[in-house]
Amino acid sequence: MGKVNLWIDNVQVTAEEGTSVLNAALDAGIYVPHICSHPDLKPQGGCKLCVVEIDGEDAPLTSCTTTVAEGMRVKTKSEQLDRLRRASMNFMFAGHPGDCGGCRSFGNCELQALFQYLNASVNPSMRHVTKKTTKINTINPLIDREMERCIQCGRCVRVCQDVRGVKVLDYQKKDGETYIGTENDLPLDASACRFCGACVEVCPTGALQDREGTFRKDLRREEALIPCTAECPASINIPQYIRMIADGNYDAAVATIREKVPFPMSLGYVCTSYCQKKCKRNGLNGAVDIKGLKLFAAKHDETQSWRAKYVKTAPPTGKKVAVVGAGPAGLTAAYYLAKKGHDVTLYERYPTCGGMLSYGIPAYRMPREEVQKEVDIIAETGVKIVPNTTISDVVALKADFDAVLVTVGASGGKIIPVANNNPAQEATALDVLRDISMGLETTPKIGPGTKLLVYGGGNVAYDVARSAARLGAQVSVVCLESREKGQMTADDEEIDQAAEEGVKLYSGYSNTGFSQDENGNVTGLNCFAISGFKFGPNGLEVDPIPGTEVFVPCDVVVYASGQKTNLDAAFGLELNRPGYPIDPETGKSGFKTSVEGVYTAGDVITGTKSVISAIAGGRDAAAQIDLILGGDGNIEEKLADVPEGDPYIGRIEGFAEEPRQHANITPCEERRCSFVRVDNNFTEEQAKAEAVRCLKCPLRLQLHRTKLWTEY
Amino acid sequence: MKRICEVTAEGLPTIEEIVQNPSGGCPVCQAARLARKAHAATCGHGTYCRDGLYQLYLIPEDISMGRGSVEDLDLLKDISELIITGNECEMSVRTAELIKASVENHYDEWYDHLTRKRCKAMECPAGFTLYIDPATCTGCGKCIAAAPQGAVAGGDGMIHVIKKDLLELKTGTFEAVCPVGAIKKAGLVKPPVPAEPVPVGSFGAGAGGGRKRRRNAAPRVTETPAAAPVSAKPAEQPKPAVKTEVKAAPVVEAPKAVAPEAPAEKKVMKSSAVVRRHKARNNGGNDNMIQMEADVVVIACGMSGLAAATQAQESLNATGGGKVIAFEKSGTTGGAANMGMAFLAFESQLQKETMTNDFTKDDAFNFFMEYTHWRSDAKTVRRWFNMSASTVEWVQKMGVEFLGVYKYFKDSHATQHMVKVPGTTKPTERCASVMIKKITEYANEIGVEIQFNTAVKEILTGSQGQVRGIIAVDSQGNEIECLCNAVIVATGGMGNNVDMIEQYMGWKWGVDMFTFRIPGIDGDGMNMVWKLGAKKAPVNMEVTYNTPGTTDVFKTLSEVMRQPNLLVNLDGKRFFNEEHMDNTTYTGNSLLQQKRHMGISIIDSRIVDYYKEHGLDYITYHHDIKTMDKWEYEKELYFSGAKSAAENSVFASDDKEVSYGEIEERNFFECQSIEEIAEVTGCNLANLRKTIEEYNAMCNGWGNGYDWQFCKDHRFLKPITTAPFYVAKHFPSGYGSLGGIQVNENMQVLNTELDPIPGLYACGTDAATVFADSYCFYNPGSTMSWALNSGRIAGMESVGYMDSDEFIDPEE
Repeated sequence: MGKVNLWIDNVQVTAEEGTSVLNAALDAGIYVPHICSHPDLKPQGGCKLCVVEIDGEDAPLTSCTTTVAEGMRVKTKSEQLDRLRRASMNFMFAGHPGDCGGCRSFGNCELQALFQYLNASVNPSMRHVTKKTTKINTINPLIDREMERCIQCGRCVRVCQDVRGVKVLDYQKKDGETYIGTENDLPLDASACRFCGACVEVCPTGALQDREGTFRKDLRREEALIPCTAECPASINIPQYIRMIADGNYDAAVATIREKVPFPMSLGYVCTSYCQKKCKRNGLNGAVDIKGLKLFAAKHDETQSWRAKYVKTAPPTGKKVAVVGAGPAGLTAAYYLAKKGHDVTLYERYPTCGGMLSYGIPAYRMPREEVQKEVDIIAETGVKIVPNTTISDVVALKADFDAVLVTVGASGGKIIPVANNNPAQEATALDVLRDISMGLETTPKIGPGTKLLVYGGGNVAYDVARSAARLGAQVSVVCLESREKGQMTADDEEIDQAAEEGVKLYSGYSNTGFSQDENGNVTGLNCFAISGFKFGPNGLEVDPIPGTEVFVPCDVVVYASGQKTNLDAAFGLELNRPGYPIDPETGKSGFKTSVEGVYTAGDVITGTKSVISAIAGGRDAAAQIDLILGGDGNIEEKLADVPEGDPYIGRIEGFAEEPRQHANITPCEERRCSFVRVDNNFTEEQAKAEAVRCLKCPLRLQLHRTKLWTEY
Repeated sequence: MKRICEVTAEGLPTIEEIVQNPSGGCPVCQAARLARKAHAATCGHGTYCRDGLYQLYLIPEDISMGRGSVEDLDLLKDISELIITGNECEMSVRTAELIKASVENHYDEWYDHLTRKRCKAMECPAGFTLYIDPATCTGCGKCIAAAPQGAVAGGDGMIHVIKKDLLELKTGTFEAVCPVGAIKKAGLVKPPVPAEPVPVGSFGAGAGGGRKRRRNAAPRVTETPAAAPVSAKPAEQPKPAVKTEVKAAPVVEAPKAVAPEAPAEKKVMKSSAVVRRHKARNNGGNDNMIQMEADVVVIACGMSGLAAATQAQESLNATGGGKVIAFEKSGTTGGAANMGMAFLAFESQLQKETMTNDFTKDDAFNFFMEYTHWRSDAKTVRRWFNMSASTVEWVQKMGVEFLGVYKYFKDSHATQHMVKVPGTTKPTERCASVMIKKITEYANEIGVEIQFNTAVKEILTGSQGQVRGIIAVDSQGNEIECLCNAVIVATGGMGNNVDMIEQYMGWKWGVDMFTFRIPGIDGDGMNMVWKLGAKKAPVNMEVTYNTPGTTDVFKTLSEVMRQPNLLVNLDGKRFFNEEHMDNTTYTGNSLLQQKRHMGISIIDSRIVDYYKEHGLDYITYHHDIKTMDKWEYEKELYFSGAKSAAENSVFASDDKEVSYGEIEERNFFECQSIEEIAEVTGCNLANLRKTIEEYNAMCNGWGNGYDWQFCKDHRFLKPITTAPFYVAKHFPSGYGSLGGIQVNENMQVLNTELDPIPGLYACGTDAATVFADSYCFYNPGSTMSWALNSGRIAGMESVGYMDSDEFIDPEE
């Protein structure tokens, strides 16, 4: 394309042929007021704020609809133009409320900024317009429409029509009034709206706003606008892999996941899915099943085209790193450190790697062979795995390595002091789960006829409960947290499936202690319901509900009420009271420890958290150790070569009602007596349908932000 | 600009059709209809067609409903031009062109809608009134059911009466409710209708219930030529009073055409229907005396007389019709009020809008009675204050606009409703004349007849002392006898009558009193009513002060010398807390206590420098001097030609009656020493020295900013130290006289027994006894407000009198 020279306010400007005068001026840093124009939208010429005078023209022209020409002389400021612009402002303000202070756009409002720039004032002679149509269609999911603030610039209409191809928004007419409406005035969730948020993004006033709470305010805008990725501890590009799944490109989907984590499959089974809790679609009809989609992608990733690149390592650095504990954090760190060319030795006390993936989470949730496959890929990077080896003195180990990373997790269970207990009948959840995982008999024995009481309300409690149920025990779960109030941390599906499997739940219950028989054996727990509880200075304080006393019979008690480390002083690190290594400089647990060159990551810092958090911790630790060892600390990988999302997403009728897909669950009769997998994941059809439900939040970032006059 | 859409102008009229308006419809309604239609037809993508056309129909619709203001016309043209420039589509551009053409070509009609709520075509709800034709109404009750409760009164078989002129009744559907078409539209003047429902058939010519007592009951028939002379209260059963039979009406004279002999130059605002030759009256009048008849005669047409005549005519029109004639000595209306700017009201809509309604009418009443020590008639004051706000609306209805509500000086109340001169945004001197023109036009329109250049010489009375007419002389020397039922005296006091000023107030004009002397304000009214036995009430001057030859001529010199600096008398002593020099009444009153009524204001060069740097201490909007910019210029001019400039001032009158002494040639001086000050002013030097020494001590010496003499605010204590000194002599002045005729709260003139003289009313400054000894400048705008409100009261009461049992037939 050719270049054109023109003069704007006596400044010579060179612009591409075909550019609008407005854009030529803006590109040259000459501000021309405008509000209906937007960098991503075709010009409309409606607001008349961008009027300019052009030599040889009788009347002012809208610069957005005028194309540059060679030698053109343009004047952007004059009394006449001021008058026209102020008139436009007056027209717009005639119907605009004066309660700027009550508007969420205050300070970011283009109209407000123009009001300043143009020294405009509300012309008191103009009639205040109260449009009746502003109250049409005000109740919508996700998007607040305060249409009395609308100046009908039509930016939302153009973005919806031309950029997105959704074509839900349009200028409408009713009783002579013009308004921005939807087709047939249907609420957005009854229309073909894709809830992409583009209309909100381009709205120059406070007329269209995101519902409060949709996006976090403590993050940078670019992060906050993609809540799933923002919530993911490992910042996986979730929208991208969902898009790949929708496209049937499972290979690219897994590559996208593997850019951040080496456990797509395992996470597909057990991830805590922080992402789903903040998924924007929660505001519509339930989050996208991101975890299920991840599992689907991992299972259907047949070509693994990423694999060669994935296991390729940098040239050896000659540095030796030991990683103690082959759980998710340790494995992740070992992988990235090996990729950076370091010589990594991974010590594991049990026969196989995986940590909680292998010895904590029951096999019906986390098939062991899947963990092993992912560990095998890590091993391809040259990580030396040393199983069945317990490191009891880290200082001694350090002598042979440039750096040691301790990722031993929080593998010690806690036993709560309850009155009249009998230690012989008690166990911690972790011990029980490990024994069951290893095919050993638990102590005390849990088997057919055991009356088991699990104390705790998290997923671990349910892992114990459901595993025990599979062994033939009669299981009761007792916890302080109320399920009605949403206090329990166990997943809903865990609780529901366990109930199907016969697990009784006493949620919101405290106790007055066990009852014992004449032999000193515990026969059951005396419980009562509570209306609330808190941990005060003197420990637990509960508010009992009178008359709710219940006796829960039991002969074995398993505590799933928190974990701690198994470390002791002999390990060589300075520990705090619960046994977590601390950094003496801060007095808190963190990356550094009391021994130079020995670092920590994962649950051993945070306490029991989640697989994904441990993985994220492993990534961070790897990057930092690489830096310490002289590397660049950059562990980012580009594995998926996929284009940006297509902004033209088009219509999907009934999109808001697209139901969440539910994976095939092994029937209760089949699963209750065995450790077969419960979740059989989506069919391909289901996976695609679920992937389409994604609201494509990142598309919004493709739209340019408009600049206010203050930025010129 | 580039067109946004292709909506065509199909179906719109041509500009020519708008200009010619062949249908004669209302241009405002037409504009509203056009713009509303166009607004609905356009695509709405452009701001101008969407929101601009919106304004283009909202504004005319507002105007149609009586909610517009004059600024709307420029706004409409402006918006139209913008829409034409915006060129969004053919539809919007053409509509804008049409509306612009309508405003430009039918400007007067638009303007009438705005200023006087008048719609010639009677389409705009706010531009006409509805009435139920008593001759047609069958009393069916359908309209009562269709109207909001209380809007229409009436019962079975009774003529219905519209009690509330609601806009919602005038949107077109209400008239159709009447099966016999009795609901009719009227313009400014409604044909006679009963005030309350009366039996069908009892109202009108046949019923004989007309206002028999009136001399001239011929209604001003404009809308319904068929209507006969009728009365307001025909339903009233004649009371078994002795007077009943003597109240039989004289036969109404058939109206005749204007006498061809009427002098050509004589200015009569309405062609008179009653002027006629009359021979051999039994009063022995001269053969060529011009005869007239009226219901109410108003003597003089200043602000008060004009208000009285207008109100009387309104009251007559509302109760069956009648005639008001006002006789004015000069060639125009308004009298002394033409030099005014604003008038007082309490709790007016305007005060509410500007949040100056904190001084309520109750506050005002209490304040005023305190101020006058209850020497003022409480009933009169209360009635005046209570109706003051309605009078603002009364003149607004006639098209008067206001700038806002103002104080007069810093401690006064915000009571002055400042008349707006079209096109201005600040108070303008003499702006009240704009209001006078509007009221005059309105009076003319509703039927008041004003005989200009005609002075009333005598008020005629009947056997019981009741008023029966007046004798006047026109500019040609023709005598006029005008018989009437009531007379309202509104001659504006005696401000120009130096003999009367001396006789009744004891001041020699031009020596120790320098008041305004409006030509013609000679005490005519007082002299006429005193002759009839009316009580002579005290007369006072509405006192202010000035520097003769300087004030209003050398405005900067004058304003500087009116600042709150040292003021001494001829003895060289202070006599006033100069802080109050902005209260001209107080300053004038204190000057009146001094030798030769003289005060000497002294400033020094440092004060001049201070004012140059910081501006003046006191600024008044009426003098509007804020800076010293013209100080040097005016000083030079004054000293070079003081005499000639002074000759041009109102005080350098060559009136032959000024024989009390010579006007001082100079009243402003520049002096190099205190000795010189004493020399040029005649002030006692020794005392002056002592005074200045003490004053300076109070300013910044050991007095430390405390005025132990008169407690002047320390901000205004500026010492007199540095020559040259500037000196001005102040004398009492005044706007005119107040009082002389004793009236009651109904503006009835009282005799020495304080009983009303039947049919005789007075208003305006002639009757301004309410002010007692001093004008109250804390409530600025009082005089004009009194003139308007007392005039209105007199107008209402004189008409009320004619319908009351107190009425005495003039010919008895």
